[in-house]
Amino acid sequence: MLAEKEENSIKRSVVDQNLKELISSVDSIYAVVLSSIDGHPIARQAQDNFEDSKLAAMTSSCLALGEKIAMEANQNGCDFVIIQNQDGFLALKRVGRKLVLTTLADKSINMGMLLSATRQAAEKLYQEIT
Amino acid sequence: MAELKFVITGTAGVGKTTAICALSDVPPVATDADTTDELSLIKNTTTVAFDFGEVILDDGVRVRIYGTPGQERFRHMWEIIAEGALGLIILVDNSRPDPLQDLMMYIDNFQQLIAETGFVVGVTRCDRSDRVSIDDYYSYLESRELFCPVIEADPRSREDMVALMDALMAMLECA
Ligand SMILES: Nc1nc2c(ncn2[C@@H]2O[C@H](COP(=O)(O)OP(=O)(O)OP(=O)(O)O)[C@@H](O)[C@H]2O)c(=O)[nH]1
Ligand SMILES: [Mg+2]
Repeated sequence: MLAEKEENSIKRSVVDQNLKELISSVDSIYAVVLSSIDGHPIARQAQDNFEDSKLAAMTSSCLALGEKIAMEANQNGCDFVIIQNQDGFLALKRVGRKLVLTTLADKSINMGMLLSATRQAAEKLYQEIT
Repeated sequence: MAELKFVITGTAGVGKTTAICALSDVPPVATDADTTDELSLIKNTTTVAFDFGEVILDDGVRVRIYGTPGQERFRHMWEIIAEGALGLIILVDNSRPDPLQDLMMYIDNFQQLIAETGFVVGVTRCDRSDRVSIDDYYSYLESRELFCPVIEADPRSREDMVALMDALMAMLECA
């Protein structure tokens, strides 16, 4: 039990460290959220106050839909679900079986930067916590 | 009525995804994700967006059936799914602590759809618990000045689900 607790707190610090790196890697990224694939928020980093519980549930729905639509169109290996808006971007990326990483950026970001920063963080997280 | 859209809702684990798999004449679409919380004690996956299936009636009419996520944090999907629906099936798990309370919550949340169209109630897991009887459901609905058919149904049984759908269609024709 104690061991499990300790392991959890190590993972927590690994997660926080990775999210911090991601949000500070690119100026235009203003928030990042790690949530479970079934829609619970797990960890976040944000420049301002940021409410992530509804977002976590909605990203779970959105990622599942994106993955299903890709399959329906016979495209394999859904990599990102991207929502592009007048005011900015959200990039959703699955991390292993159980997690989703969401990166929020303002409109000044270069999409390639957004995706590569998100991918790097997702891959590193995957290696370090699963 | 060339195309019909029905919605199935109810608590997590009541059997909405199972029901659509049993009913659909086309390969169903499910958006289940691994459960990571207490629900994992009951089952391994849960709907996070919607289920979809189609039933083709004898006269060639297609009924599109959408299943909602059961868990409340996905309520953002409820409105989206309810849009344009012509009827609602509420599944209630008879083995939960307070099935009438569960029924009330879904009646309240789909109030508008119920007011504009019609609904039926399917009671599942009657094989696991008979604490609440079908009569109890009718008295409860009556106390809320609602009337609709209440039918015992096993979501794994196509026959049971067809019976629920038929009851819903009969309701809609009366209305
Ligand atoms: N024994 C028994 N099992 C049932 C009955 N109804 C449903 N089940 C089982 O309960 C489970 C229902 O799971 P799902 O179909 O995923 O439930 P759901 O309503 O889609 O749940 P969410 O998507 O999480 O909201 C399945 O394993 C069914 O086999 C019943 O009447 N009797
Ligand atoms: Mg389901």
